[in-house]
Amino acid sequence: MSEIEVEEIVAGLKRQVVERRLAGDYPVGLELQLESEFQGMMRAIDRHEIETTRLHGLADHVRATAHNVRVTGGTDSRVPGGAAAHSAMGRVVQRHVQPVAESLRELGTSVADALAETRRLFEAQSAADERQLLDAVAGVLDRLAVLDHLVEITQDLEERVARLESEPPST
Amino acid sequence: MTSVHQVIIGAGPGDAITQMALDIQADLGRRSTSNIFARFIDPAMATEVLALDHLPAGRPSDVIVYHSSFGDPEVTKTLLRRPEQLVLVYHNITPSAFFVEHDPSFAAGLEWGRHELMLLRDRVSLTIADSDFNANELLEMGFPEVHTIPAGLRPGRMTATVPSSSTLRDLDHTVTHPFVLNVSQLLPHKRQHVLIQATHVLQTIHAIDIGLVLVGASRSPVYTRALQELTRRLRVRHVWFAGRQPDAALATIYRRASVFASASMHEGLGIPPLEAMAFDVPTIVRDAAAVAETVGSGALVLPNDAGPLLFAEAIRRVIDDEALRSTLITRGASRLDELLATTGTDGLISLIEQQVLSR
Repeated sequence: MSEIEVEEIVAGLKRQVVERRLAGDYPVGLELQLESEFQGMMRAIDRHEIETTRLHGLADHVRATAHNVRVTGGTDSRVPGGAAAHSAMGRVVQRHVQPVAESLRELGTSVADALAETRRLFEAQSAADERQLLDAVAGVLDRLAVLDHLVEITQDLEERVARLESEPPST
Repeated sequence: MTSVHQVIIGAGPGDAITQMALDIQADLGRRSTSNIFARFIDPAMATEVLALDHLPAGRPSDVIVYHSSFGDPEVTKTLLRRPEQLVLVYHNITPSAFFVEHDPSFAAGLEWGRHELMLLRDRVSLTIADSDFNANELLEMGFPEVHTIPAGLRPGRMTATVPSSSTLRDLDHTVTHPFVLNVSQLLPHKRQHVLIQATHVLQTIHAIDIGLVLVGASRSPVYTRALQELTRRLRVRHVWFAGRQPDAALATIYRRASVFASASMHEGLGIPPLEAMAFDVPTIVRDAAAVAETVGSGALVLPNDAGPLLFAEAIRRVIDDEALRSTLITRGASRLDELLATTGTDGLISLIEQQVLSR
């Protein structure tokens, strides 16, 4: 198979596409329709992804922040004896701050859970809406298919009637 | 002992650049201290690839081989600060236009990759590209001399793999025979949706009971969901989104495939079509970027604007026409022979020794 033969094959395939188009096998504008429907699908999914992904990210961030709440600070100091003083003050304050930190962690976990539940509900609702819409579209397509079929039957009947009318009456 | 380390952006199993780096390391390791460092490492590669932060102190006589395919400012900063000589291996950076709308942060990374090349241009001691297409891009960016060496290319690496019985079962349960195979990450510019649309055309208009297997990691959640939705809405049967597959499973799928098809709009090299040829699978590709150069006369190359109808016609023809099938298989084998005569890591290492280490 030389380079020219490859070109011939591709040219033959292109001709085949044109012939099928002319024969009505490939509806006019089929490729454009397929591509534009797919791009529409991408845009719709993109909008949906951004919203839920953002919620997911926020929930994760809140959870991580709550988990990292600490009651002890650094004790480094450039002042002589400063580190020991910081350490002692930290121990004194820790007793009072500890319950606050625990409450904050619990609050963070609750907020993160609430965000996760919101996302779950959003996705469930979105999926339900989409299913409903698709069912409706499928119903319309089925009816269109029936109409197509009826048109074919009508055309067939018309042709038969025309044939019968054009035939000479039998004696 | 001189060290010749390699730096890649991300390391993952089945990733073509990681595989190339491992092959190069196998040869480099016999002559010098050589490790692979990456900014992002899949846990499965943790024993073979080290974190970029652990790149040891180097000397001006040492070498860093940097595989460019994406941009990451941390990597750029690291490379610009290092005293070692820099060898650039360019695998191509996908044009950001494919990602701007749906994945702007990924698009920004690609743009940074091209900017990084300009920043590194004057630091580079030796420039290598793995295809003429990629070499020309670098020359246009002002790199003075670029060598084309597809180093580490081993498209036949899986041919001796033992078939996986679980994959055979998966294939039997999900797809019919014949089936079309595509292997690549699920990304908008890979255009897997065209193959789904072509399968739809074949199943509905041509009335052929054909399957489609898409192997490859999902790199874009939006695109992956859109592909699944498209399959559902067009009611395309026998489609298997196989995800990333280990070598044994992938080899099994290649062996069973009736035809390999790629509608990708951009490839800096394009290894999966060559892997298909290694498994005697007739191959159909789109003439885009370096693809035609890579496959040579070993594949049926469709024009750049080919849509699902032309892909459907081509797939049907390759499946039905036994003479064309066997010609494509024979041509594919010849193309691999041609490529293997020019590839291998020896050429790359010789260049590093002659032009960098001897300085």
